[in-house]
Amino acid sequence: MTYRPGASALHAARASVALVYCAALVMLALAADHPLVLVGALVAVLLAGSLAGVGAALRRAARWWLIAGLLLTALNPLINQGGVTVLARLPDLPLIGQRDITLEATIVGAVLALRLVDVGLAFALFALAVDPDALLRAVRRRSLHSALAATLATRLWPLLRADSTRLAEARRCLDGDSRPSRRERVLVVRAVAVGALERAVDVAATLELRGYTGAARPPRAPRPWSRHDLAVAGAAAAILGLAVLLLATGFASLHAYPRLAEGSIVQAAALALSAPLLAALPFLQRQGIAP
Amino acid sequence: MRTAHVLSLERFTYTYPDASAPALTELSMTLEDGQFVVVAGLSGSGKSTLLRAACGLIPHFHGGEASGSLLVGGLDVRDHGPGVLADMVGTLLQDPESQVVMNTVRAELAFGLENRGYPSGPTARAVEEVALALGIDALLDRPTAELSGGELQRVALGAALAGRPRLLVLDEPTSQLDPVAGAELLGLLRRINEEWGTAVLLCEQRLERCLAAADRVLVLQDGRLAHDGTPEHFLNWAADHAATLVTPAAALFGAAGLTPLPVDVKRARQILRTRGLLPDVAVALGQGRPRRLRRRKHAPGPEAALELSAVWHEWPNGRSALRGVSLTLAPGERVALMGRNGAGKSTLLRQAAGIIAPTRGSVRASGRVALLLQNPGDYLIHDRVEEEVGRDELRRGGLSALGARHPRDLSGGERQRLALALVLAAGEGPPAVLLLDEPTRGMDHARRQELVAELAAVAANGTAVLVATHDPELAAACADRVVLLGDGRPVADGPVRDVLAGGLYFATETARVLGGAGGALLPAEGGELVRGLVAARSADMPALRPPSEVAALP
Repeated sequence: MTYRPGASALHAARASVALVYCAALVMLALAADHPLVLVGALVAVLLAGSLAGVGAALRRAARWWLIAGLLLTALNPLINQGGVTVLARLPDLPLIGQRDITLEATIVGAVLALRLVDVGLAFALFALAVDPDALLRAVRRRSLHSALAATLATRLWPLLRADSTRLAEARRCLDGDSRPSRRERVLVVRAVAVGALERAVDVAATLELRGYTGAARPPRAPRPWSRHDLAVAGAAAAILGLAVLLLATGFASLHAYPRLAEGSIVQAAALALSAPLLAALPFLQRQGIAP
Repeated sequence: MRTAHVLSLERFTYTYPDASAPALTELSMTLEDGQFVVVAGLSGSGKSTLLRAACGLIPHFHGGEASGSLLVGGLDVRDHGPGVLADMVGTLLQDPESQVVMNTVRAELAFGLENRGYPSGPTARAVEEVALALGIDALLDRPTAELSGGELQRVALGAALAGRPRLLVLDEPTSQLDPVAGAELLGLLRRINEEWGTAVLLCEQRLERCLAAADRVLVLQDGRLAHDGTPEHFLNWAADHAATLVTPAAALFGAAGLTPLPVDVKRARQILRTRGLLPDVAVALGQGRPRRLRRRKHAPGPEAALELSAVWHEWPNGRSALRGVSLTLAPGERVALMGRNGAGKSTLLRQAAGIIAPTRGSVRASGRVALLLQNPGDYLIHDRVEEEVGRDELRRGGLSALGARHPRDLSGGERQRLALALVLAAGEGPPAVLLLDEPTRGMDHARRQELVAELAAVAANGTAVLVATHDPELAAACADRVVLLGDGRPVADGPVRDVLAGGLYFATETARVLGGAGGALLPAEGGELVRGLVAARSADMPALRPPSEVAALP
């Protein structure tokens, strides 16, 4: 899951604006309680990804986040014993004793899971559609050392992934069809970790050779705001406005314990519909974007 | 103020941290602006250390102890780190993967300039110009993660050159490239050296690739400067003092008793032509025209050690890496698999080893298939050599003395011997097939000879050997047969003499000097052929040009 230049308003917008757009989607997911609003936020992210041309990659990422979400949904009622509406009473289990599965804890688990999926996919959208080089350039004007750490981390990740693939391939050459033992798997992980240090040294040497560590603050490169910058920034501001509205007014709120009490479903539906609409708006402007 | 010497060493000695002996000892030399200097030497002789000192990584990045002086453009490396020296020195190290730090090619080329505070206008212009100069303008908006090894190497070179450095330092830049890409890269370096006046300090194992471009050759032995002279003087010196550094063309002349020793194929042919010793290819082959290569018919028999039948490999993006390749290896047969970067060699080996399945076609082997991948370090995951493989295998591989060492502390050659012992010992009994992927990458001539002997011993036990390589000299020395892949399918398949004697790039230097005459591939064979011609000419035509006349050739 890496950034590739693409033809969409999100790709065309400056990196800092695209970052704020993705951050606004995260903020909306964090601010929302109501499942309907969270579903709206999820649709907003998926729609933005699809319109940005990264829908397929986003759907691949969604599989993993959905698995994590399902796990969270299943675990929460086992851990959280709040709520008065008992759906099932489990038998006495070792270590955890007797547990009640309540409707409220199950709903809270689902809401948490939905929020997790929303946030995860908004990050995935960021990784797929926002140019990290341009972002790094922008960050370097503010904080050189943070940018250095980010550069090392972003470059190391694909290197380590390639290293682990090669090491696993070498193990398969030795082990044939038989599965490697647990000890061998641990040794491979350790070898990748040790290799990470060597790789970090190599990348750091390259950064030294390119004059990164002694670099002065890069000069300001003034760039007029394009229509895509303005459209994406406008959408981001509107989505942030929704998030602020949710936090400030408690619209479409959800109180789970001891008994479920939800806010107006009309408000929730309105907010759920407006999120994807606002997220999609900047993509309507395709002037100046290659087909 | 611009100094006369772009690089100047005066009794420079350097010892790595925790090392018992210095890696460079009392090294004194200078490098002028616009010179093209090749650094030669065996593995561990200090070549890479010298290059790392010239770009300031030593001592700033690696630590250790340094004495004497090393000035880059008048700046002492002990007072100025690589970041400061980056204004003057562009550096390209061995592994291109870890030398690319940005996500797109354009950002990568601009990175060094931005660090130096170049405004955006001049940066954009420098990026465009360097991309055009290196022929990578079509890659500018490509993600670096999608580039091949050869493309990455060019991008890393572009990043080193974007700031128009006075000195370009390169550590084995062609080690991962096929002969075509290697020749292109060296041609490019020579052009930059001539047109931009950039001094070049280049370390390379395959000297035959770069000697013709060089103004000077430095030879390091055990960290000391053993020789410093023109390529011609270097060859004469190497013939007496370091036979493993002699290029194949020079070795051919040595075997034939001819002088002067030529620095490249062009010069060698010129000398032979002047002396009337350039063999007539048609006559030498005993035919009116060069022999036509015929693809082998693959008649699968029960005796085949490995049989690939019309195998295809299609990537998810629809590109085909292999297109209906059929290949049969008999027990004990040694086959070299050659082709350009991206021709499908590694994919074919992985299919043969069962690591990836063909999308069409079938792979059958008569027994275990052992595969040694490009990086032998990938096989070594334990803390001690003796934990990786049993004592018997260590003894057979000549590694008994290294049992207590950490695998990461071994030299490249030792690591490869250990990994080879490991893959050979991985199953019950010897494998039916041994596959090796680019086993001589970055390897010196001496270790290459050892590997050739090891492969011969493995094949003698009945194991079929398939070696994917860019190195025609290795193929000639170790294979009975060569399969040349082009765009995922075999374009030539035949005895090693038929395939390697007639090529322009996929041919040994001896074959290129002699135009494939007599199927001579190795210097000893070529020398014998030329001696025969000398004898024949002496009998027929007593008046040969005197050596003084030949030496005066341009």
